[in-house]
Amino acid sequence: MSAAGGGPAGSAISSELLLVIGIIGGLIGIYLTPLNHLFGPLFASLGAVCAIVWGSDAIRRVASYGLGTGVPSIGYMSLSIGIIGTLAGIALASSSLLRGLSVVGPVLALVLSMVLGLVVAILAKKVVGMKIPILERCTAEIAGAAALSVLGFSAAFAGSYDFAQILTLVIGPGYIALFFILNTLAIQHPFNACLGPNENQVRTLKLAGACGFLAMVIIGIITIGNPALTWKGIPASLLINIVGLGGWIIFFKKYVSASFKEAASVKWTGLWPKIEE
Amino acid sequence: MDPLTLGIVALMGAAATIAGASEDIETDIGSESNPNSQVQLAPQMGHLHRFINKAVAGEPVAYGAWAGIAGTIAFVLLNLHIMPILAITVGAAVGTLILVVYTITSHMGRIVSQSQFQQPLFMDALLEALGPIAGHGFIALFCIVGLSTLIVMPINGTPLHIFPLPLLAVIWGITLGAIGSSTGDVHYGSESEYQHYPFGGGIPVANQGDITTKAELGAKNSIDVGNFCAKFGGPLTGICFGFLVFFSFWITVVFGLIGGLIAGLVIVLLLLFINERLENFARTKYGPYKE
Amino acid sequence: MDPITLLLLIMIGGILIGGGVHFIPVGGAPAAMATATGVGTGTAMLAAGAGLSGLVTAASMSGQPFYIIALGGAVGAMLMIALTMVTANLIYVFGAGIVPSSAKVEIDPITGRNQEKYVTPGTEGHGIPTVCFVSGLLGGLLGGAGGGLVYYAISEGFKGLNGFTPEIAGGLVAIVAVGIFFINSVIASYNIGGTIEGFHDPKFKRIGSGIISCGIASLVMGAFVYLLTIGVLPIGGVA
Repeated sequence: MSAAGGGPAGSAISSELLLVIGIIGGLIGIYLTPLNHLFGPLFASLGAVCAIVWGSDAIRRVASYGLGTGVPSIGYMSLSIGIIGTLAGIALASSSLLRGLSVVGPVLALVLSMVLGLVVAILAKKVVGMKIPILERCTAEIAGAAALSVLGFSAAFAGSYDFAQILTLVIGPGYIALFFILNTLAIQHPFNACLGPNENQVRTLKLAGACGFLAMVIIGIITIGNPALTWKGIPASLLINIVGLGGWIIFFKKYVSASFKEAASVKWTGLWPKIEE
Repeated sequence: MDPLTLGIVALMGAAATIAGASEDIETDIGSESNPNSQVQLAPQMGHLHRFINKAVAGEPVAYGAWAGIAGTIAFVLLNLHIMPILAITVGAAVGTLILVVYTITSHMGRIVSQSQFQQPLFMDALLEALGPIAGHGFIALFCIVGLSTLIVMPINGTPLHIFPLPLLAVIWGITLGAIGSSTGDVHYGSESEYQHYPFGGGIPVANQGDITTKAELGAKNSIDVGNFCAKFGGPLTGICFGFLVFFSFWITVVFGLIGGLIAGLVIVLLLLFINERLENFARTKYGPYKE
Repeated sequence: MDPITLLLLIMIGGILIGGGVHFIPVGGAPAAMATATGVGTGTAMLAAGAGLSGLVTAASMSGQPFYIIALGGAVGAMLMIALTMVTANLIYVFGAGIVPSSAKVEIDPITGRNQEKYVTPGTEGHGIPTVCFVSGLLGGLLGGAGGGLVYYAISEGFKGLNGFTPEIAGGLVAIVAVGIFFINSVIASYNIGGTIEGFHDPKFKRIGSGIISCGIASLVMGAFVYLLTIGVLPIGGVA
């Protein structure tokens, strides 16, 4: 519950670049889902990982101002916004109003989530009186990242981003609850875990990559539950797990070596050094 | 009222009690949640330490996620007609692995981000605490998923609740995290963390960050914290969560829908009375700080 | 259910949730060190735990009229809050030797007991005195009832739609209700800056702006839920 303050430290990677990676990567991944039942789910979950990295950076920017309620609250608020926006978006795309246009579902989910995020942030600033200059932009960004990451994992599990499929395969059995809380943790953990005066963006984003791929491994295990996801005898869960584990090992190693390099000292035994008062 | 359902509800309460106690001890060993603020503050105030700084916040989100992972994997395996006890065990084991990975990343992240205060990254302190953290975490996850499975199992044809298993696991995980961070953590934060200050008072703002860093012999470590809190804070957290799960179902099983609501309100009023008596006891027994 | 009633019920539910959060006595991280009065965790965290316990009891009343479901939610949330506060006080009193007392008021407005003398010098109070306990119960009552109303509104809003089969009912209604609950409780937490002692705290005067923002946000969310009902319609049948 430590509060940070004073705005974000310098960033080596621009927020615009991460935004583009998140939106484009996330949407491409989700739109590639219908490709087939092996590579489709893989691309969808990779898209979700892109969105998680983008969301982590947005959390980093807004939470470094000190929200008064800790980092996690904005995380699960934005994920809630993302869930409601996503469901409304893909539902609208499959409704009779937009007959035959279900292809706009993911874009609509992203847009509706960001709009709801913007509304909540404007209320928090204008009515509640919060004084964080970038609250609107960041809340909208986290909500958008939430929408793409949840939709990405849902599409990976259902093998389609069609509302009917997701409703019966993901929402009915309650998998959506896991995607909600798992992505909350994956998006808000990197900055929260690296909080402190010597935090740096690159190390935080390495952790974000690791968290995203770890979530992907979980999705890979769970896709065993959808037996339809095989192609030429290869189950999609196997491929998602291999790629997810590989990605996780790469990013986790990078994060650990960055931590060892930036630590004041790394000790395997003994007491702390004497410091001057 | 049917005796079998009542027995199941009692079993759920027992599982919840064990889950609550081990959840609290696990988060105390990791210095998770609110007392974490002091472990975070200490190096800045010149008090270096060998504690785990497991900032996987907030505790409800973290436990919701671990329990959600465990519950969902158990659910998938149950649908593949694997024996329930095995399915729950595998689910809890995977959840525990994820918990351990998050513990490592948050400890390293927080300590390294304080490098300007010369706080060393103690890898031995981290590695030796991972075992107890994983052990307590596994017990907690096994019990949460177990009780959620009991809720969705159709006994006499209908399950106790309409929510699916993954959702229930997430809900009970979040609730347990909320209870663990509100109750058991107090024993760590206001007593174990400041043991070199006299017993019987709050911690003044001026003393914050001056945490107890030494034990009887050598440096105090996170496992000492677990040993301390296992004696009082942990068990009470367990009793609290156990009562919550038990009462939530017991009232409607025994008294029916409307009667259950009335029974719930009566229990709440009883708790209000107990709290008032407790406050009265503390005031008369301990007396005021200043006359 | 017609769209207007759906919107209204979700808005009232949202206002009750947002208002209820203002009553819950939470001291944030300092309370865990017995440095501030209230439960030692964040507002949004405790509200989430209480709200979800309420949701479980509210959902077990499914099929009943709205006031029974709301009362079910209230009882579940009050049980959770009451048990948490009693247990926390047991640890404050027996684990740390502390007398529950508030630093925001001189005497407890309910029991009339002097507070100031029992506050450890240098702290802002500690534990959960009776006035905070009662406030917390009211918070659980309002928040739980609000959560129950939202649950009722959503499940009624979907009722009768072709795509709304019993297999998906629990999951769909619950996740949307959880989302609405979390958003409102975090907006309310922002309004009180993360900590509050209860209705006797000076910060409680801000409840107006909290209710207004939760009401508007819930109205927008209600519109989103309505969009969702349009989408559930055509599945498995003719639109």
